[in-house]
Amino acid sequence: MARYQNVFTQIQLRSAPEMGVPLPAGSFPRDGSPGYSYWAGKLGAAQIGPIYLGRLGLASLVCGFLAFEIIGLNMWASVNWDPIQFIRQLPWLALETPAPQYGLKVFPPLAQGGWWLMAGFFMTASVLLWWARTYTRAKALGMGTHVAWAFLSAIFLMLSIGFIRPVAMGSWAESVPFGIFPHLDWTAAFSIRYGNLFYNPFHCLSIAFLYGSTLLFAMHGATVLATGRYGAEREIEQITDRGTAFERGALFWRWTMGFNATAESIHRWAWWFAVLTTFTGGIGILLTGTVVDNWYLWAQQHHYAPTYEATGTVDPATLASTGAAK
Amino acid sequence: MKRQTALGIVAAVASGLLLSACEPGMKEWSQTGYRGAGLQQVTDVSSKKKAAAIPAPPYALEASMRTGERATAAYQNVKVLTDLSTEEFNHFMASMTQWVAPGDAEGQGCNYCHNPENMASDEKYTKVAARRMIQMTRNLNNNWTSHVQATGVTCWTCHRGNNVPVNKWAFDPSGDDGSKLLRGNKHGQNTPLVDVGYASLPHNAFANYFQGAQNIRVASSSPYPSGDHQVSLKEAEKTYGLMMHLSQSLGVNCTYCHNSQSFRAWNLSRAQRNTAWYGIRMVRNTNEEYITPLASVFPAHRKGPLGDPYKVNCLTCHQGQSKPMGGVSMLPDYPYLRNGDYRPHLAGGTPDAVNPTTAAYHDPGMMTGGPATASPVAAVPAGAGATAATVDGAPQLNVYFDTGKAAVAPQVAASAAGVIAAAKADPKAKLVISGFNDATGNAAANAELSKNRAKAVAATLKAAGVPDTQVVLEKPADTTGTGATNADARRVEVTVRK
Repeated sequence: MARYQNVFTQIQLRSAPEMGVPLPAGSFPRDGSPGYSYWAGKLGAAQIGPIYLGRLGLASLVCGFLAFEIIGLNMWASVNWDPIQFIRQLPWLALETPAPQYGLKVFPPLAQGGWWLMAGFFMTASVLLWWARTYTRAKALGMGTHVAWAFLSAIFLMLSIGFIRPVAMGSWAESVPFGIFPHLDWTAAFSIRYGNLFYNPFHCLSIAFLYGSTLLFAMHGATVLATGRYGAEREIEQITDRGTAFERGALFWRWTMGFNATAESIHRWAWWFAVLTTFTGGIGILLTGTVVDNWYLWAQQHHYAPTYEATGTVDPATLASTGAAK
Repeated sequence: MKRQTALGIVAAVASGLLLSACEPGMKEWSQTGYRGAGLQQVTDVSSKKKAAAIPAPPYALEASMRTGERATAAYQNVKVLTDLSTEEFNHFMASMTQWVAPGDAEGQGCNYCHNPENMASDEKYTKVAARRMIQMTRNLNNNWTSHVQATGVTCWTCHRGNNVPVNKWAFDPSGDDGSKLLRGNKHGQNTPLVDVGYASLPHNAFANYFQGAQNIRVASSSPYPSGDHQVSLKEAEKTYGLMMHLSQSLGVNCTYCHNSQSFRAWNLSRAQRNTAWYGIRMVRNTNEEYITPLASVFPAHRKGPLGDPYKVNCLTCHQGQSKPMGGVSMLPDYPYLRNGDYRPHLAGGTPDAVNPTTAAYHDPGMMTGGPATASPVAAVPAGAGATAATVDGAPQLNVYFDTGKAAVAPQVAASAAGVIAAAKADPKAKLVISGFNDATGNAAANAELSKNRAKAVAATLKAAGVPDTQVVLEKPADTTGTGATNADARRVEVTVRK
């Protein structure tokens, strides 16, 4: 079997470890003495480390650890510090948001959402610090900052759900609990409360970009692997010096669907699809409850949802003889 | 090489099965609404609850035995079953024993409620409770036909041979009490419980919704936010927990009642949602009027951790079936459980005049599959709809239409059951379909419309399994029928001809 058709990487480079370019004055040193891993080499580069942690990385890890600990210890406390129940019930356990009566209070009682606010603060700090790290590391390497901006789009969705929308609605209770099943239940309840998120056009856009991302990823990955025997994995070189690998890939798509992306533009397609998935999703979240309260009725009003014949059922609470009370 | 490939295929298939969370085994599938809207019930055959055997009456009761001397004359301290004959009374006591306290063990049988030395004595709390429960049963069968339909309930519906019904609830100290403690505080949720379908939803739905009088509405009736509808997401999670209880209790999924487009919209919901709406009110009424007041009667070991009596929820009767006990009615043997002289009118139980909701509502027997009920002449719907009637002992189906339209209303399915059953019972019987129209408008166009309406009904009946040979289209002498109103006149009649 030819080696370019394999699922795993066939070639592993072994030499003196690549240590990277010299660091500017005042930087932390890179940590770890690099080594080689056979199994890492199956999936990517065989060299592990060194890693640059720096001030931002260190601060991000500290904040992330605090958030993780607050969430985990709250969950453990909720099962009376029983280690067995903690493991057994872990998927169900949660750190809950403040109750609605606390509104946007910054310091509700710790057991009534105070810890949730703190965990949210440290998680947000951790993510934003890590974002700053992706930005400064890209600058340090003389790269563009595309990774940082794509990451920021995902952070925008996270903050829309957990911070911006709750603030707009005036209640932390609108936000998501930390927990495996609890956050999934929240998602379903969110759709039920706001009349079916399916009819939120920005939800639709987000799904279109999400599915589009997987399609583009599959097409691109398959094209590169299929032309690997001609050196197609050297994508950057092929932008300036088109080899037969690129020509064949381009011809394949032009013959198949009449149009082909280029070796550079396919990554632009993928980047925008990925970025717009979370960006449109965030907009959809921000409009829910603030601008639109029932997406199904909104979609009916705008002739966006299909109308089916009524079943003849009416709200029993509207029948005079029953009264609203019973 | 070949062996490697085979191994690879086996591994891929096995991991696919593991990851897809698919359940092996036969499924039953039925469509419950418009196609493409996810309106279907998928039931895992192996996990479907079987209808438990219903005990036969302890002995046969002749009709003449119901007319003899009254129990009040033979026994002392008869307060509730005052309208029963002594023979009926004894028969019912034997039945109740079989339903609630069967067996010869100590404390079971008659002695579960009675002091054998003095049967009239109220010294045992169980007798006081049983008396209230008989009143409750009559209340359910008289005032809550909106939920129990003609099938009705008896002690067996809940008890199933147990002193205390297996499925019950009491106030739960683990609810969200606003405690400032972290230890053991799950805020009344995040616990794997069958009551919420093993989700992490709030599990205090019973305390929240099975008492009081509020409507359970979280989605807004307006597309846009307003000050009139301020409902927290937390409230949505609570109602979601309650709905999981309904779903678990009945062994059905959301679309058994709701439409996937909008859980809120009543005009898209199935008739079952109405039944459930009344069911929730029925449970509240039962708990508040009949069970909670017994708090002073029950001993501590019959009460929950907070000292309130164990109350009913959907699972108490349903026990995993959409119709408890498979929809079989025990009332024919115990008519006094519905027709007793204890019959206060309860405002709100069942709408007293016309409930325009569904044909199934007008014709409860069709919906429950229980004994055929004498269906009074149902009200004619204003637009499209259907009613079932009995004319000269034979079932008849009237299908009504919107002005100028020939579309058959979905309610026909429920109302048509009578004529379809008659056709299936006798292969020689013909279903005669005649279309009528109102007297307004162009006569030729009206005649054509009547024909199209009759054809649409014929297609509906054939789709329901009536053989082509048994469906006869017959043009009436005068298609401007004999309706009292225009709405009544816009109809298709289906009669059974033997």
